[in-house]
Amino acid sequence: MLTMTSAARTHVGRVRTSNEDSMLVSDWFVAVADGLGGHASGEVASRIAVERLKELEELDPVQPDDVIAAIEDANRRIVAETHRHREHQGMGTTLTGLGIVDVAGSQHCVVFNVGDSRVYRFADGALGQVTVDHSEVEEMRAAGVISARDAATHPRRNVVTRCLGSIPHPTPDLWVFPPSGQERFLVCSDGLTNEVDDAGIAEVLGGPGDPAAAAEELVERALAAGGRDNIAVIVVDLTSVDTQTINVDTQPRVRPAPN
Amino acid sequence: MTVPQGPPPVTYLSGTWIALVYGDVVLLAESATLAPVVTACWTAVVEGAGFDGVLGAIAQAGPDEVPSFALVGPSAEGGTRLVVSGKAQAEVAEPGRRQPLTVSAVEASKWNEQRLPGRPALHLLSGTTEGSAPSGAFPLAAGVALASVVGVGVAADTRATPAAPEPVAPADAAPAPAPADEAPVEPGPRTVSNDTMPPHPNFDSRLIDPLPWRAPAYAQDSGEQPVASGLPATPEPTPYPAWGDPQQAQQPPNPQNPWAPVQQAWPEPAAAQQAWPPPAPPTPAWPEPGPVQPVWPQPGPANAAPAAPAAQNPWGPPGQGSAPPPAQAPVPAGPPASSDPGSAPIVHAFVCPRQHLNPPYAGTCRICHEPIPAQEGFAAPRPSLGVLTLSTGDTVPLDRDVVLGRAPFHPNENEASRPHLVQLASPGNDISRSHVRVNLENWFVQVTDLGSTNGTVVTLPDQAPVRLRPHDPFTILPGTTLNLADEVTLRYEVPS
Repeated sequence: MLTMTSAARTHVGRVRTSNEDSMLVSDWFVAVADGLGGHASGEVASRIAVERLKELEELDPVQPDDVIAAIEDANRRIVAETHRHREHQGMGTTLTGLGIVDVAGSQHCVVFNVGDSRVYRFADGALGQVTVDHSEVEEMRAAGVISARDAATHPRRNVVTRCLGSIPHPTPDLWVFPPSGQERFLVCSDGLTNEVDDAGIAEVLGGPGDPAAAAEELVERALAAGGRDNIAVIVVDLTSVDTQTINVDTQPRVRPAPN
Repeated sequence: MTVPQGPPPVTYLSGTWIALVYGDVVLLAESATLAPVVTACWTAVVEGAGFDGVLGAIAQAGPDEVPSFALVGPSAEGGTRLVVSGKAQAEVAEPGRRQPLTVSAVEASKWNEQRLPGRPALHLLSGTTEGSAPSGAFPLAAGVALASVVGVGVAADTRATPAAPEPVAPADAAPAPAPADEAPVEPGPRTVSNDTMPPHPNFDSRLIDPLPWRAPAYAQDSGEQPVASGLPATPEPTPYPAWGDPQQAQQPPNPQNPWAPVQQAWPEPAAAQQAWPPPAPPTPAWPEPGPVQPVWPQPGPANAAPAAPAAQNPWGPPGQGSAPPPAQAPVPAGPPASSDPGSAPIVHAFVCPRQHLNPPYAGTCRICHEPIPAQEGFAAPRPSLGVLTLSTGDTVPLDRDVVLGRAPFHPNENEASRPHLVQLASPGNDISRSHVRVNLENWFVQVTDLGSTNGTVVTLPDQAPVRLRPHDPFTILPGTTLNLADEVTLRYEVPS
């Protein structure tokens, strides 16, 4: 038995005039898409991405492959839109989120990512970043060229290495894992993570508030820190109450006969 | 023989296919949706990925996007690489031969890859005259255009029309002077089909000359006229066109026979003068380059883009020319980076005729089972190696390792390479918490029993079941079934 409670907040920020971040909050899927490209193109791309993902609602059950197919299809649609409207040339979007899929007859979480929006998991008082950014700076950090601290302020930290709207199709990262007890997830665009560090995020997610209060608090902190980009935040509480058999020891199916 | 330095001059006849030229790499492709794959090819060449980059982009797009193409570029050994697929053909001029060698893909589903010595002049042919305008050949230094015929190192309109085997030669043209050591004239264009390709996929074409028709004298520096002299419809060595002086360009194209060779005079670029045949005596001038139909992306050098980054990356953000981008705007950095963190490791890949990625040692495609032709391959992020199909019918993608069990666990949740965790229902608790791991090693799929209480049994296709030793990786093949504690059965499959 799984319950999912989500709250989404978005803000244009203090500098930009339009919000190119799009969000999806449906029963079993949440996602953030951070559009890129001028002349309102980013808005178009991010909206196409979340609208395609929303169509997963029509499937029952949803499987991991369906998520991959939806992301690839979203890419196709964005590319096609680019060719229909020249003014949208060069548009793209990140697409990052969390959903519930069916694997082996039970509900599993799936986290998916293309680009530099992020999914965090907060459980047992600890915050972990589930996704790996598809960005130049993350590559440099992974290669040991720069430190994690330098990465947070690097001038090229906004350069993504994968996004929807590109040819060939970007390969989405995907993780499938079972829900475990009480977990809180954060799905957000870099408008949050460029302004609020992990400690700040952990503080809010570990606070007493429900998802709506946490999402609001995160947006406020991002605005207070400068709000230089669009901010999109989704906080998800996932509660799984069917874990009673997990800690039972496995019994040998055929016990060896005593000598 | 003088080996041309620098990229050969390229000209084209207008048509409906895509001609893409950049440096040494020339592509003529039939494209269903035009721009996406063209953009990918363009990005590849602009970023220096060259011949392999274009081939990779076409492979990625798949045969639905690019049913036919001809691609030519330099090989590492100083020769020429040529790949032809679908309806596309190439005609390669051979010295001492009146008829060019025709290279085509006999079976539409297969690529025909050839290695040619030196840098022969050749024509890339779409095999259709649809959309061709009654005009002469237009030069294309770099960029993309709609074309039916592309001439590389030779004018595009110097070949016989496909409809008329007997080329219509200009009335005043003198027959080509026959080389002194001329071999017997061939009865007609020959075709090198895939059948002449070595059967074994590991065949290294660098070790054995794959071209039985290659004349030994070809490679010698004989000081004779370069290759263009052997073309059937080119009694005089035809100069390649360059951008002509508009003042001179008054001669209309021949409206009666758009395919008839038009003698043209062009300004002689000094650098190319050495390498390519000198122009014929001045006659009617270069026609007005009116019907050029450039397709986005714009030809770079001839039509300088206002913003350099946009020219480098067609998918880059617009607006860089006018207003500076917002400070925090994400910017795509071109195509997916091969060193992407968190993504699949880079593997050496071959492509099958249907352009699926395969391991270099595979004789047939792991997905469509077509034979894989000989090739050098290229580095690519490892594709998904298939799926695990559970007895429930559910599938788990093999794009990363998978740990299966009653309560699967991975110690480091934040590690980029962490596996999928698949929880299996086990009412009797016969399946262990972390029972088995399926891990991907290069192109191999391995399965490791994680010390489970009730064990894992593996059945390779057409083999007897084997009980795994704990913690001992076991390589499996498509069609292998895994049985966990006699309770859950999985199958490793590669869907077509």
